[in-house]
Amino acid sequence: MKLANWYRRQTVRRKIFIPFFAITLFSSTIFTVYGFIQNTLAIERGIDKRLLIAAYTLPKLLSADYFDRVRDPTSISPDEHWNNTRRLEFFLNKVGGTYLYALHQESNRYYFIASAATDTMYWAEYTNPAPNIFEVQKTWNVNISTTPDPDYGLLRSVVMGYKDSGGRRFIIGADIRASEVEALKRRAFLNFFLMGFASFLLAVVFSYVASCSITQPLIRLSNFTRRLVEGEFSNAIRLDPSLFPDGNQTKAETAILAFDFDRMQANLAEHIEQLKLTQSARERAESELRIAGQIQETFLPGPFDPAEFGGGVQLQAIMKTAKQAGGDLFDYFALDDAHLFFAIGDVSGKGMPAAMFMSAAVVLLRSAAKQWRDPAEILRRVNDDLAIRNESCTFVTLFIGCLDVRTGEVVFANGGHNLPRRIAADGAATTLAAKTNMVVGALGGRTFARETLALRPGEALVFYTDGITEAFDAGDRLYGEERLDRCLGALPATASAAEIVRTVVADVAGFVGAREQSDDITMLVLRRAPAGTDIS
Amino acid sequence: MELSVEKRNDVAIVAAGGRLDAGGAPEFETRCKALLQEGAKRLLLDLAKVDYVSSAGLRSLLVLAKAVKSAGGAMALCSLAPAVRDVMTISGFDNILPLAADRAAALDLLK
Repeated sequence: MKLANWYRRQTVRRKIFIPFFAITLFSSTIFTVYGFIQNTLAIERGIDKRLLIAAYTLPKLLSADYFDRVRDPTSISPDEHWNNTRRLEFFLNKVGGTYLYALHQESNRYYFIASAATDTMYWAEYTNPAPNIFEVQKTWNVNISTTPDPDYGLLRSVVMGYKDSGGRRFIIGADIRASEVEALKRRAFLNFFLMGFASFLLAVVFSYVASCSITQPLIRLSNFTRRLVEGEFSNAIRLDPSLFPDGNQTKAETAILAFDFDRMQANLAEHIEQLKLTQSARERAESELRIAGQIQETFLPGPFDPAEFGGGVQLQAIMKTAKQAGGDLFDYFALDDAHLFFAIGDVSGKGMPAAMFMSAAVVLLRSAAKQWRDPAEILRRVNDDLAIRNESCTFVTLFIGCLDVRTGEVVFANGGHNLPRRIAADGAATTLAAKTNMVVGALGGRTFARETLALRPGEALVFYTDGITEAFDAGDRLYGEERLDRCLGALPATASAAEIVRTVVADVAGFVGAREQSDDITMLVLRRAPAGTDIS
Repeated sequence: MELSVEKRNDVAIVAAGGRLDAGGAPEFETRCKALLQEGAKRLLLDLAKVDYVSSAGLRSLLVLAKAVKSAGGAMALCSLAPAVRDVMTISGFDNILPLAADRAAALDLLK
């Protein structure tokens, strides 16, 4: 398992090379050992055959009646023995052997009657015969063995019996020194070892070169990829075309990979270029939307001056847009030193179209308010102006009014807007039962109801858009009108317009939590200063 | 936005479900306009399963009302949930769109 993990982490070159190395090492060793063993056996069989041939041939190298003539130490002349010795020695040299001899046995003693050794005389006694001589004497079988001779050392010997024409028994032997056999075996071993080692070396070198030639393009591809990432996929960093000299008209996988890689990179560079263009276009659009939002803000009035109308009126308004440009609006300004005009509204939809519609609505509303004063008439005019060729049916809900600061009379008209809350001087909050009319800008030729109410000192009107009542929390629950009423009801009776706005906005923010604001949140609170406040 | 269309005689009944807001309104509007193009003159919108209508939804209803009117047909809404009914009332849409309690009443309105 550990070995498998180790192997998995190796480079591809090693992954190819290591098994190749192991297999080559294994097969070379098997080849060497097996070849050596076979060769050794062949050498031994060859030696034995040679010795047998020498032993069988010995009588043929002597005169035909030689064994018949051997009787006693004088039967053969020294000259004849010398000649025989020369002939046997020559033959033995040709065949390859150490000793070749014939023995005559007489009363348990052995005498040399022929020998290839020049220093052995006729009828010289073999004083210390090897054990296999006795063995043959007993069994009369051909004996082939490795025998330690007391006088001549370790020998490989063939010993056999021979009978002359009269049936007398002789013994013929042929020997070779074991050290000579060992030398032959050593040479064979050396040969096989060198051959095995050479083939092993050749295979290793070949596999190393092959593994390199396979992995080298991969390494170049990998280096290229790294450069590509560091160079942020620039089109200037291209793959060396020598990696795919034949294009994709090849069966070489790495060349095909390189070719495909090159094409992929070209596409990638193109896509990245495209992406950059798209991104800059989107950034431009976003910045335009942001600027639109800023321009839109300039349509909203600045902070209400508490000193205006001698401190008799508190007015606080806030707008938190959900996207860069929104569709909510509010407005207020003094028509003269006793009349305060105010408006709140919500354009259908969001984003740029809503923002543009809102801008038009604010401008129309402002100019109409200065001209007509009557809220119902103002709404009728604005409605007709906005409805002209309004194919998209975009509309705005508007609640507008005019406060007489001296008497507290509020004249108002509602164009489909959420009903405001009225907070009495003792702090009790109720929904203002205003008449509802059609939203503004959708259909021309409509009229709007004109209504009035008397705002007593310490009383407040709370206007809002549905961004407040339709704010969602993380669990998809609506903030809702009930929660708004509870929040307003919990306010102290002395709460100023600013405090009312702050409390409601904080309550909505706490309800929404981390969830993204889904719609514009707009609020406008109008409060008459409590009785006793100096009105100049 | 879930939408299913059923045709009874020459009245196309569209049953909508879910939220008719900036997300759902475009699909609702496109589908209903397609019905008008196919020749439906009378449109009955069953809003029983609509639990929320935003200003974007109101705008779509307005667009459809105008399209029906210019095609010489008629349109009615029925089975509004209380919250949706409130939205219609506050925005004054109840003055320009015929609202019915159920399908039968709405079909009577379309006759």
